[in-house]
Amino acid sequence: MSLALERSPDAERDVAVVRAGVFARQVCRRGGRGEVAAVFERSLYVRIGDDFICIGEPTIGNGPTTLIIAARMAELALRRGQRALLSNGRIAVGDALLDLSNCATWRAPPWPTACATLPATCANIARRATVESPPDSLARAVLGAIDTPLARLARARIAKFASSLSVEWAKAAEAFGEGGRAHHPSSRTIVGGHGVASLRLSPPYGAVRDLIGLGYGLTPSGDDFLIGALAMLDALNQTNVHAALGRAVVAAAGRTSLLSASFLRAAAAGHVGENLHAMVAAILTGDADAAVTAATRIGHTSGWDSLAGAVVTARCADDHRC
Amino acid sequence: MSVIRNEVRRATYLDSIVLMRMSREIAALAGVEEAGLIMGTPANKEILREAGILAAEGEKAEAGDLILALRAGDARAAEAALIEARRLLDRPSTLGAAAAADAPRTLRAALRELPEANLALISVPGDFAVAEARKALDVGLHAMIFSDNVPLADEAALKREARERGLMVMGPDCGTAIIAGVPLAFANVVPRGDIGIVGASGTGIQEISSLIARAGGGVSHAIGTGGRDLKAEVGAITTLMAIEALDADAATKHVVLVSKPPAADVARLVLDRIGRSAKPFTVCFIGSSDLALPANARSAPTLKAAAELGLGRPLASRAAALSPLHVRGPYVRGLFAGGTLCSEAQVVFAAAGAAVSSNVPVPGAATLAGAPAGHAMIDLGDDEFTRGRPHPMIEPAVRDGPLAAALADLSVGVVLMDVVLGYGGHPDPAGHLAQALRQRRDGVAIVASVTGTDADPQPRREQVEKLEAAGVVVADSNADAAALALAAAGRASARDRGAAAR
Repeated sequence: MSLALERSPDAERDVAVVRAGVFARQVCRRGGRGEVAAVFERSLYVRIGDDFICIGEPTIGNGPTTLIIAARMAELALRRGQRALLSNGRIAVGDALLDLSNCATWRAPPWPTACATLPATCANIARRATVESPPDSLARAVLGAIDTPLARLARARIAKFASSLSVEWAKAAEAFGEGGRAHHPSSRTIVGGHGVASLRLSPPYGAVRDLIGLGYGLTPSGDDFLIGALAMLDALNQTNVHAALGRAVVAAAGRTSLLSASFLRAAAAGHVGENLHAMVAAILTGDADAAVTAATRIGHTSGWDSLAGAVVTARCADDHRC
Repeated sequence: MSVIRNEVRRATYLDSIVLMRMSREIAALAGVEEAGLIMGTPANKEILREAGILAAEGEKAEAGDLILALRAGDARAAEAALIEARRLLDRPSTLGAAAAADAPRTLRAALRELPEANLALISVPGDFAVAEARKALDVGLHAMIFSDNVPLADEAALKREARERGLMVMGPDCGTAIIAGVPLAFANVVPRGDIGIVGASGTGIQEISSLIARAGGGVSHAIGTGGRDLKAEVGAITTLMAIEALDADAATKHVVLVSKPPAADVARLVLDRIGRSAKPFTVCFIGSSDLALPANARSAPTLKAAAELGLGRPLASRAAALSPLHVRGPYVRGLFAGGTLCSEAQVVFAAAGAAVSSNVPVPGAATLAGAPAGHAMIDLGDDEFTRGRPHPMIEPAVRDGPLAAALADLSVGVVLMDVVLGYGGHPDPAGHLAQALRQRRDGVAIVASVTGTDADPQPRREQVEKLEAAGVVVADSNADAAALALAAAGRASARDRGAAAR
């Protein structure tokens, strides 16, 4: 049990951070001054410059920008606008002192191998999305036949995105043979600094610019779509296409909120949260039910919108027989 | 003439579900033709432009800002809608700040404010619940643990420790109780009376207590035990203590016990204890049969039957008076917020000889694997649907996706649903359901029950009226709703067989 729960209510509270995502750890290591930008029931966001870290209870799930603490959010009684100071592996915010000294670093497990039923799984998910996804989601707009202002804008833009992705994929396929795969395990190895042979593809700047920041929710649906696409490219070991899309996403990050941009930058570097990872892994292993279930656990429309991004991307993969 | 108004909140981040709910509430305000609450990114400004609701102020918003945009029938309606929208937008932070400022942050601090308290209601993440419960026991308080995700071994150990101190641990995962007339967690407003309830089932307690109340009876106490109390590892520690308490309570004349079927050894233990009481008992181990009951106990196969036995008279039912439903498909899809209501529907189907499957099957029902087919009863409050998401009793939108899937499935002729009212629940579940049913197609009957009373925060009569206005057939009880749904689907099935024979 955390020390925090044993302390007197009047004293400053020491709260153990039990797990930290790689980006959250980097931000904490750099240190700096920040501010509580948003407080939810089980989590809060601290903004430090252009970076955000999420601090939450274990039930929110691990993620690259997340710190999981051994305390209840309600007990910390933190409020939007409170100052935060990050230094020496600690975060002082409100009455709480969050201690990272004994926390583990969380990283997503390796992706499973894509099974031969990937096209059928994607078709199954797309069918379900037409009726089960929230009506205000991008997933419904793209995979269903709903007529809303978002749907009218989104359909053509997603088609443009898929087309741009296919063009770059074709270049990769030409360079590396069928499937366009580079010969290393994951784009994370690039981020980690392991040198690999690579092909510099043209980032789909225009297609990404049209989608980024598009749609409803705390993280706009277009951003969730792009994160799903990046995760699927990483899962399919499409390092070069992933890198090209990642560059386009990072370049356009100023067109969405800073909070959403922090998730996009993490995905561009090959890091996504564990719920999204479970969703994409389920698609790869042909378990449509598990993928849909995982999607419904992520936000209101975010999971479904990421699912749409992953499915559209996997369909491009099928065109190039990955 | 229509008027467009925009308001921009700088660097405002609200949870997506909150944004969605506020958007709906603002769009539903009188005189509002169109409304949106959206982050002020360049792409989203295009959406607002496309919708014709972007004004000059919205144009100036930055990507991290929140834009409220609306079009109303006239200036007065627009201004009224903006005032209400501001109130909604300010509400979360105001409430949060007030709660943070006023609420005691520890058990000891709470006890200083209310020294005569004898029960602590614990609702924290499962990782912390046992420690908090032990703190309650240490200061002589009974504990009601709302939290779930507590290991079974910890539950058993905690309950043994409590029993040694003469204290009761209700839960973990105890969602409902009514102690001395005070509803706790998800509970309904029912009059006090002479029927005591012991339940390892939250919605079971709610349905029985509501049926009793609507029939003119009352409840002395309803003691929740947590869903696993009758498992062999726990040995019904809380159930036995609750029976003991109600047996000794002069105001309680009849005790109703409701649970899933217990382990055989545990059932014997409980029935032995019942046999030593001088009071009459009703035992509703939902889905079980062949119970060897003591002479002072009677078995109730359904929650409705349990309420009838507790009251000592049958409940009125409008089921026979409702017009026969004509439906397109031969199968019923049950979409439940209440786990025990889902079980009760399966019992009704099984008793009628209808094959049924479920993600929480009762004995005799098949396990639902993959996409639902045939008669299928789905408990949307089960862990697989609620991990990291609100329970459907709190957020009825959880049911929207499965409802849309059922309406699109041509084999489905009847959608069967429960609407559970009371403290802790959504303020207007029927209103939400009525909205969700706008996409309904002809040929699908919607049959529902509404668990609750007119004294609940969401008065039952108003909720029933909303459902009926949306074309929903509302039965008097969940058991009646299941029977009505099955009868309608049976007629469709017979019609299909007749057509095939011709």
